[in-house]
Amino acid sequence: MKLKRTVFLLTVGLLCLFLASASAQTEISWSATADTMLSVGSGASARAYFAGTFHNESDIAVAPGSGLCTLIDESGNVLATVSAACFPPVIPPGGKGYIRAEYPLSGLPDPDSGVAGFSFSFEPYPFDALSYTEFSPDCTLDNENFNPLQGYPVTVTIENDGHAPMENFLCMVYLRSNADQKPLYITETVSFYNRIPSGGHVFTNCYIPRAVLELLKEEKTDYSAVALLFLPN
Amino acid sequence: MKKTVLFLFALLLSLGCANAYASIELANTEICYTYSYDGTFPRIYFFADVINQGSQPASLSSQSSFSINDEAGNPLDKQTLRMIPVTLRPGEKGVVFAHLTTTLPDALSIKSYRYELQTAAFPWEYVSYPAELLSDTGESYIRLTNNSSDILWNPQAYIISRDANGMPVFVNTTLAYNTGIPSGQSLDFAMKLTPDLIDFLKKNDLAPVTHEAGGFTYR
Repeated sequence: MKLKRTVFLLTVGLLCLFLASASAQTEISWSATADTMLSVGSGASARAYFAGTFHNESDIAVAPGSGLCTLIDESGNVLATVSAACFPPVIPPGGKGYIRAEYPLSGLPDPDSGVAGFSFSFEPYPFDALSYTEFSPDCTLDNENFNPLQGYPVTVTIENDGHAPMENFLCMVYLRSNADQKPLYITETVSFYNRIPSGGHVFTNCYIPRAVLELLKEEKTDYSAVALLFLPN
Repeated sequence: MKKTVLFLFALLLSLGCANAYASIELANTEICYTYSYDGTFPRIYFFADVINQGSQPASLSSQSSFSINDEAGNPLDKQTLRMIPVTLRPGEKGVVFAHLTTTLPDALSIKSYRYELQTAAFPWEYVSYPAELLSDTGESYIRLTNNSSDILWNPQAYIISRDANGMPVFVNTTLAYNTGIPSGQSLDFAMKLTPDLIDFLKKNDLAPVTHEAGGFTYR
């Protein structure tokens, strides 16, 4: 009888330990910082660009998925929500991602109310089927060749130093504050489906809107253009 | 008398202008088939050789289209036709094509198709670059090499595969948007001519036996 009871208690105890362990392994911990909002233009062309950082505080890889950027007024009332994207699509344990959103301010119910703050929200989930290696290739912001449809190009030099062709990667550029290293503006991501032969290199352009550069110049903000490459493993 | 002369003059002038217009017309029987890469929504492929019968260079207008229709002839889905090369000199031959990925779950509802060839008001100017077909175990790649001294921005590569009768059975073009190939460097473009698609073509007596690879950019 005593033996049966001991075996029973041991089984229950082991079961509890197993469940606790399994629960800890799938627990996701994350945060998102709302770093910078840039309001540019006026009237019908008024636009706000939002930049932030996703922090994966878990010990597993997560996919942030599609997120939201919530705009609030001075009283904390929600003015609008807009979709937010995070790159790369999979964040390793302890890693970070770059969050981007934009909104036409003319779409606010009361354009005079003004956006006092913003925040990002995601519903990340465990994802280990794909992982990326991050590189920081050389890039140059070209202040001379303005493209009226896209803005000022940041030309990224993508070199393939490996032995295998390089393809299916993501490339983005962000403007980083020299004062506090926070992202000021994040470009749209370029998905690169073509293949760079081993030992070769090509250029790709990511664009910064003219109004963004003009605002940063007006505010005397020192920044650097940083390129990021996410290569699937 | 004066009115008759003026009328004849106007008629001759309009005929002359019409003759000076570019005119892209079908040069051969077209090929159309349905294939699905992943067993879901079908993709309808349309290929046809064309010739510029006019006396001026000619490009296709954006109104040129390929559409699939139901039994009553009503259009179910539509896509703009593309052409390689993008501009034909007078008397030059090219190929028009469409890859229509339809959301129609039942490909059997597609009873007929229709195409329209319309000439653009102004022809495109382009520059050609050498390219080679690389045969891989997976998708076929075209390697475009920049043999000029400038950076080659927004390059496009194309493949034209023909069967034993010389008919175009697969044509595709890929654009590397916002990408520049430095002088002397190369970039490989995936052409989607997969082994599964080649097997499908062989089973349907459309086996590709020759492949033409090329590259170009717009001026």
